[in-house]
Amino acid sequence: MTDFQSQNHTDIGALEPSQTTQATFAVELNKVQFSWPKAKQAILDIADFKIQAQQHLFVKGPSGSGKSTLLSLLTAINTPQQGSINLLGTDICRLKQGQRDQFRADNIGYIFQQFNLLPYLSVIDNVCLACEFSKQRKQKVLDEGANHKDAVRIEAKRLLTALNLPDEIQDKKASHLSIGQQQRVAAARALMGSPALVIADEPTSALDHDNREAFIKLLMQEVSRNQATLIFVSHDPTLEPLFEQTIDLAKLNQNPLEQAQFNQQGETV
Amino acid sequence: MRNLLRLAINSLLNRKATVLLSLFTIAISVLLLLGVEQVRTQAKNSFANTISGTDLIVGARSGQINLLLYSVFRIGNATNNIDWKTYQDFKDHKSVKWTVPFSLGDSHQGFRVLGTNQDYFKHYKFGKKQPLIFAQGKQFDQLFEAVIGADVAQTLGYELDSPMVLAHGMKDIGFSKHDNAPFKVIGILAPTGTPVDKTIHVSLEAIEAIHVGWESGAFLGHAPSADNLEAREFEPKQITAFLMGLKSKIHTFHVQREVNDYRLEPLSAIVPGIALHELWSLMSVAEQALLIVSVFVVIAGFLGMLASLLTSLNERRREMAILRALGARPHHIFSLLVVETGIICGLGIMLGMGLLYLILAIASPIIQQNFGLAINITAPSQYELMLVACIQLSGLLIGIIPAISAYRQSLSDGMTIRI
Repeated sequence: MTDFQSQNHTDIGALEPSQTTQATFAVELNKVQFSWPKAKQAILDIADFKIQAQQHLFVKGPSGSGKSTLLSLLTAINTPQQGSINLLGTDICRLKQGQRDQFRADNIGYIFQQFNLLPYLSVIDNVCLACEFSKQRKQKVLDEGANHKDAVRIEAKRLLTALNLPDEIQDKKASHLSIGQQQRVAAARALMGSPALVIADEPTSALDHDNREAFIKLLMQEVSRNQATLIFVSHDPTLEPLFEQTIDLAKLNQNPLEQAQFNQQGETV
Repeated sequence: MRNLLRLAINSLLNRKATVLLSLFTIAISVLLLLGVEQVRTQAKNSFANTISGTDLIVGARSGQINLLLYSVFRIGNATNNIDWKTYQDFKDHKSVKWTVPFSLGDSHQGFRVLGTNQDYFKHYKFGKKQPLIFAQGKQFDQLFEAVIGADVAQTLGYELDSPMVLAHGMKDIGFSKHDNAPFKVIGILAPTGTPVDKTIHVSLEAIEAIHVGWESGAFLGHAPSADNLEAREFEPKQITAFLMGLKSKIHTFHVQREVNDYRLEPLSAIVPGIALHELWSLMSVAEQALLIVSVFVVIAGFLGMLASLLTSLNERRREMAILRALGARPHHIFSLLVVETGIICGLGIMLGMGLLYLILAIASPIIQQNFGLAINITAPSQYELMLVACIQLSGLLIGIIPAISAYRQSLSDGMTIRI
């Protein structure tokens, strides 16, 4: 049990499993065990982990704590061998692989550590790409834009401008941008079509201190606007105060740290 | 699917250098394959066009290919000669419309000398029944006049009135020259693209005249002077072969049998079309070999493309992970790769075909002028289209290999970006 969960602990037992959870929790992990193929032991063992909807959560994850693995579960790339994962009220373990891909396209905005953009597309095309694989997100943009034929581009421009990316760089090739600008473009893309869950994997690790804070504040502002849940993973404890909630993955994961050496697929940074 | 296509095109544009190289490799292999195919069909056509309008070729008894080779292609030698009387017999045959006598055996600087008469210029046809045309000068009329083919004129630099000394047999040295009787170029033929271009035409009488003193096969006696010879009358005693045109084609096989059954000496008559066909089928081995070589070039082109695609895959893991994060399914990644190879291959084919027709358009007047070979620029034949379709299909099939690796990578990498 972690300090984060203890807050809601008393309520959990009283909740009805289906509809009520959907409204309250964006993420629910229950007795989840996950091991990579060929690994002897589980890399991740989480008894109970819930994230409230619309919360901005900071996940502290030092190297080897199973951060990459947790992210692959939260994005429905992989499913655990045991336990259940409920994302936005959907039990993703019951979905087929293709359905999980569609679920991710529709509901999750993801920001990588760096190199988020396709270098051969323009900034604005990179942002619009979020709607290419999801009809749902595209429809949301169209609905909000009153079905204007360029609604997708208009919304992309709005997000880019909101994230302090001026007009003149929006038509440039993504590869011509600075890393800080690229990360903001990635944030714009993650927010396109208002997905309910935004997951960021150390998005500020390549930024200097001032940019870091500015980036996080902008990101939070837009996430709140979309009424989405933000999961922000980082090993940098200085960012912690910016978030309303923090969780330490090393403590959450009941597997001792030394088992990280069996981690074949996890990141090595 | 349209999005994938756009992504694929943008991604390809991003890797211009390697993509262009792959594209050119494919283009060149397509160019070679179709080029070989063109050369093959055009060569076959021009080969079949070497002689036309002639119904039968008659020579001493031998195989039909041998007879065809020495009488039409000026390759090899006759097994025996035909008596002049025999020739007269068939010349006056009731079914025969015209004949052209051939007397072979001498040469000039490697070019064969053909003894014939004026009927040759009237009846000898090539291609689609095209007659021989004089580029300069006229037919021979006097004893020591010669009409030379276009190649002879060009190679030896002869013009009208150039003198030339014929040699006995194919050896152009010392004692075997008919240097007592030099010839003069009186006419030069326009290029035909047939062995006629490499032939020196003189009259039958001239052949007889230069062989005075050579009756035993070697020069023994005293050679008379040219003036002396001009004063004499010559009637050929023997010829090597003759062409025959019939009044009606229906009689072809009848007359052929008559020639083959001729009692006074053993003769053979061949139908040029049939003999040409048999000769071409002998050469089909070379033709197949050429085709096989160009198929291998296409395979090499594909391997080149495959190598560059597989190399690029590792650099593109990041791209795949981004697409996966955006909800692209592994089959999207798979299709993306296949579409990319499809585009490279398709553009390569188009470029290759474009280059081929460009080269044909530039080269065909030059070839026509220098070799008399008419290259027709036509739309690709059904066979060529089939070849092209095979290339495109194999390109797509080959695209499956990197597509499978990308598919696997994208499954195992998931959201991790490996660089």
